[in-house]
Formats: sequence, C-alpha cells, structure tokens
Amino acid sequence: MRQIIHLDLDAFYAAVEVLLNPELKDKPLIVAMGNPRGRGVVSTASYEARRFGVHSAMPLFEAARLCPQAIIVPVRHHVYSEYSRRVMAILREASPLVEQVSIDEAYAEIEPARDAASVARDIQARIKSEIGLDCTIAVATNKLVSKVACNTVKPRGFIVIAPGEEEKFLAPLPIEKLPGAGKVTRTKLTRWNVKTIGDLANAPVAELRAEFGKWGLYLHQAALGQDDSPLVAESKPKSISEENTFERDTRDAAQIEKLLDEMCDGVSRELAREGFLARTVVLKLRYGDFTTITRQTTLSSPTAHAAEIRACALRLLRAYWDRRRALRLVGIGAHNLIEATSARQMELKW
Amino acid sequence: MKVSCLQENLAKGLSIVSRAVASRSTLPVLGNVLIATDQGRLKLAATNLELAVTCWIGAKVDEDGATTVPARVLSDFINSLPPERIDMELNVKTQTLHLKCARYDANIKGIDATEFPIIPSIGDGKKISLEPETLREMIEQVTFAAATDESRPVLTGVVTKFEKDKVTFAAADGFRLSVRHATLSTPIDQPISAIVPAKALQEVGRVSGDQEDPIEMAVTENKSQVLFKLTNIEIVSQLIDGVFPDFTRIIPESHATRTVVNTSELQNAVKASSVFAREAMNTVRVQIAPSGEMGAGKMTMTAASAESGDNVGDIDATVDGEPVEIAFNARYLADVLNVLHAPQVAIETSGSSSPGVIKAVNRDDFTHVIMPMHLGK
Repeated sequence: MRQIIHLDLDAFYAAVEVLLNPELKDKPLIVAMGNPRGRGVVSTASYEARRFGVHSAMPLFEAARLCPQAIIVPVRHHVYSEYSRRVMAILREASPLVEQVSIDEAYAEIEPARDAASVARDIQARIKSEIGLDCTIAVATNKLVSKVACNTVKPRGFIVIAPGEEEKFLAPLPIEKLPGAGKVTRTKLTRWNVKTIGDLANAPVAELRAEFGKWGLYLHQAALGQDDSPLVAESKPKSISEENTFERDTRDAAQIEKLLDEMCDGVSRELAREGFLARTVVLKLRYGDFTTITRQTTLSSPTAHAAEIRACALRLLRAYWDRRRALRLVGIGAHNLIEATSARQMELKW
Repeated sequence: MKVSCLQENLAKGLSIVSRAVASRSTLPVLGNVLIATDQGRLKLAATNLELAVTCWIGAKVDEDGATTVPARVLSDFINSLPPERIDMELNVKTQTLHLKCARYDANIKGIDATEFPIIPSIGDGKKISLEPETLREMIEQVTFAAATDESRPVLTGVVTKFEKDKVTFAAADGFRLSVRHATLSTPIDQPISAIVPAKALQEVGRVSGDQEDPIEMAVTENKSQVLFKLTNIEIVSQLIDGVFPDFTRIIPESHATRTVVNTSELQNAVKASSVFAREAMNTVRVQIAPSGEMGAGKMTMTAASAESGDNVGDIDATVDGEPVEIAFNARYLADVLNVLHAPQVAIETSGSSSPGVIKAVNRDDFTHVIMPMHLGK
C-alpha cells in the first residue's frame, strides 16, 4: 500500500505578505497582479477577504466592490519562490520522492515502513515553527484521494484517509471536487443524474465508456478512489518567462522598453537561481485587439545575463513591433534551457 | 516591353537573383524582381537594400521596357514550365506581365519599375582581379566562421585585406576564427581593407560556379559598398561599418602539442561522436596520447549524453609533444574539416583551456582557431 502526502500552503502569497508585515494579520488582504485601479486581477486573497466572496483570478475592481476595506498589495514572485523553496526543502528532508506541482503545492511519497500520518504532522509543525506558514496536509493511498481530501479541510487542515476508505470518503462529495470533472464533463454526466462522486461511482461503466471513451474509464476509477499514477519527481523547467499587461494599451516605446528591462532582470534572476542558461530568447507581444505574436532569437552562446537577454528583447521589439499599433501586453521568455554547470563554449580572447 | 527568352535561361537567372529578394519587407517592391531589357539582353535584378544581385540573360528584344513582378510567383511559374521559348509582353497601363510558353499562359501583376531601388554600379574605379577558383575556396573556408546572430554586427562580416599581391580573408564568431591567405595574380598599388557581409560572399560563391574569367571586385570611394562583377552577374553589397577585432592576436604563436591525423578518419570519428554530443552541448572530449613504448600515438574522441548514452572512437595519430585532454564543439570541428580539402590535418594545442589551431598539413595559407569547451562539474 502506498502512502501519499499532499501538501498545500494556505493562501500562500497572502500568508507570506502577512509574515513580512505583521500589521496585515487578520485583515482582508488581496495580493494582486496588475494595477489595483486598472486591469489587475486577484492572485491570492487571504481567508478574511475570501469571506467577502473574493477569490483568485477575479478582476480587482470586482474584488474591491465586494470587499472595499481590503488591503491590496502587488504580487512579488521572487519573494514567494524563496519561501516555497524553504517549504519544499522541509518536505524533501522527510522524503526523497517529492513532486512539486506548483509554487505552493506538492506531493510526497512516504515509504511503507514509516507512519505517514506522523511524518505529515511533523512536516506541518516544522513549516509552522521554522517558516511561520500554515498549510493543509492530507495523507492517502494515492495522489488523487490525497488531493481531494486536502481541499476538504483547508485551511490549517489535517486529514488521513485510511486504506480501503477511499471510496467511502469520496462518495458524499459533490462531483466538482473530483479532479478532471470539469464543466463539460459535468454537463454530460447529468444524463445519469450525477451530483456526487458516489453517484458517478454507481453510474454504469459501459455507458460512461460509450460516452467518454477511455476518459469514462478514468472517471469511474477516480470516483472509486483508485489511482496508481506515480509521483513525477523534479522535471527541469522548459522555459522561464514573465509577462505583464499594461495599465492602458500603449505605443510609448520608452514605457515598453522600461517594462521589458525589468522583466529581463526578473528572468535573468530566475535563470540564475534555477541554475540554467538560456539559448533562446522569446518576445511576446499582444496588441490591443488581442492579436498576439511571438518572435524569438537564438544566441550563439547560452546566457543568464540580464544585459544579453535585454539586448535580444530590444532587438526583437524594434524589429517586430508594429509601432502604429498599441500594445496591451509584453512578455519575455528564456527557452531552450541548459544547466549552467554543463559544458560551456569558451570565447576567443581578443 | 516585348521580349522572348528560353525557359532554362530565365529559370537560372531567377535562381541567381532570388537570394537578394526581401522576404518580409514593408516595401512590397522589394519582394519583386526587376525585369528590364538592356542592350539586346534581359536584365533581372533583386535587392533587399543590403544585397543586390543583377543578372543578364540572352533574349530576343522586340520592344524595350521594364517592370517588376513578385519574385516568388514568377519563379514558381517559370519553374513549372517546359524547357521551351517564353514570350513576355508587358501591358504598361496595368503593369501586367503576360507570359506565354508552349501551351501555358499567365498574367502576373507587377509594380512599376520606377519604384524599384536604383542598384549602384561602380564606374572605372580601382578593381581587384580575383581567380574564381581561389575566391570560391577562400569564401568556403572563411565565411562559415562568421557570426549568424546580429549581436555584434562586425562579426557577421568577413574582413578582407588586400595589399600588393597578398589577399587575406578572416571571419570569427567569437568562438572560432578562420583565416585564409592567397596571392593575387595582378598586384594592386593601394592597400584596401573592408568588412564584407559573410552572406554577400556566400552569394558570390554560390553563383560563381560556372565562372572561368577572373572576378572583379571593387570598393566604393566612400567605403560603403562592394561590387563583385562576374560574367553576366553583378553583386553589390553594403559593407559593414565598424572595427574588426585584431584577429592576428588570437592566433597562438606556439603550441605544446602538434597532432597529425588523417582528415577523413577524424571526420568520421567526429561524426560518430556527434550522435551523442548533440544532447550535451555538442561536447566531444579529445584525448591525445603521444607515441611511446606501447605503440603509435592515438587520438581518442568521446561523447556522452545523459539521455542516449556514450561512445568512444580511436584514430591513429602522429603526436609531437605533451599528452592532451581537451573538449571541443563537435560541430565546429566538423565545419572546419569539411572545408580543409587536405588529406592530413594538424591540430596544435597548448592545454585544455587554450585555443586549438587547425591547419592543413603542408599548406600554410589556411589557419583555423577554435576555443575549447569548458567542462562543467
């Protein structure tokens, strides 16, 4: 029997902001992408703000309407990645097999000989005492059940689904809690009057198969709490990128170049932190009418230097931006990554 | 304009000028090829404002005139025609070119020839006369080492130096340097030096395959353009403005080890290693062991990839000096070995982080320098 831990940091970005500025504690807090008075969206809302109906990806003006007293702070990715790294380090001490799903979410597999529940308790306590962050942890026999379980007890939750109890645990939960049961799937499922995961488990497999094909089989197994997908440990990133939407569509070259500058710095920092060099620099431009172009340039020698990335970005911008048209968004990406420690071509010494 | 020519001649002429057609220009006429009668011949020309290629083909001119038509449309159509006579007639009013060949007819919409940029030609200035075979080899041995990315524009060029009866071409992309010397059959009185875009020289090499008479080269008075004049073909290119780094300083004057191997054996060993090297930044490790009591000297090439595996290849070598361990980019080695045209190659090295020098044995007119790869942890 496998033992899988699912760890999810509670309102992660907001929690880090509170940690760095205790005055924000217990207040409705919104970590926002973009300008609060413009096109920003909610990245993370503290639980206090969520009580007002604010949630991630909500346009800021709507969040501000629902919760006018909310304190809005801009998102600071580099700060959160540092905290994320510390959390993941604790998790990795507990188990060598960790799959980091995102900045604030990860699975760990615990070997059968150890008591996964006490390991998980220990992790949760260490993250609180050593870093100061709250998280929710679920322990189950597979990734699917641990993930679903985790979401049922947030925040500061802890739950163990004992082996054999998976189906019983899932049955009463509404069908939207099942990963993969999106809107389209749920609409189709109304044919069998599926409201809960248990309803899905009882739906005739043959008919699900006829309707959904292989996917139907997955749905059936998932509803029974069966999942044998392995943890995917550490896959190296394919690219590192940043993009930003302008407050107002702009044709101001100075403003565009300034933003690109900042983003190149960010990408360069992230490359250095992750230990990669990029061989290809990709510029993304989105015009006011949402037409989007990406143009790339390949460097003769891979780099993580901000100045080199910036030179490429500016060259691409000058070559491909149609100046008659205002830009809504610019993005810069470092692709074709190689590890900084691998062999490197030396340069001629003029 | 009313003119007739043979399909083969027109197709060939179009392929000669095609590389100078601007592919994505904001100026539509640059995507067109100029077709004009010129003293009883047909002149074809294309330019992207950096490079211009003009070519003359034999034709029967009934009525003089000129127009421009989309290069791609014209060549695709001409290339699909049978090898027979093509009759062309321009409707001046609509700028539509009517073509007729065997049982095929086409009307191609053009743009007035007056909108086509004027391609400069060089008067009776000082011309340098170059033997086509020598020039082709110089181009082949040097241009591949020029940079292809535009981050340092001078490095996309080939520095060309002429003095008395000596000519030198050199190019470097920051990681490797190719230098080739030759002798001029007709010495010049004033030294000339210019940075010619590698792409322009590659075009000269590409279209000069049939050339038997000397190729004339001239640099404009203000040093902004260069012209290459072949029989029936002219290539004009902008020169690159800037200072080319002093390449003589990076050619090592001495070496610790000189290794001579069979060129084609080395080419094979590099090719075999490339299979594994391509997933590892193209890194091949080269170990050179001098001959000793154990037998003849040898050169061992290894490559390893975390994903696909590794390989080892040995070739016999005549080694003079210390044992060597160095790593190179396999592609750089393959590139230079491809243009060496010599049965034996000498590799001169002075340690794992010093440049390697590659020369043809018994020839001192070609020098290639490659910086090694620095091996990570």
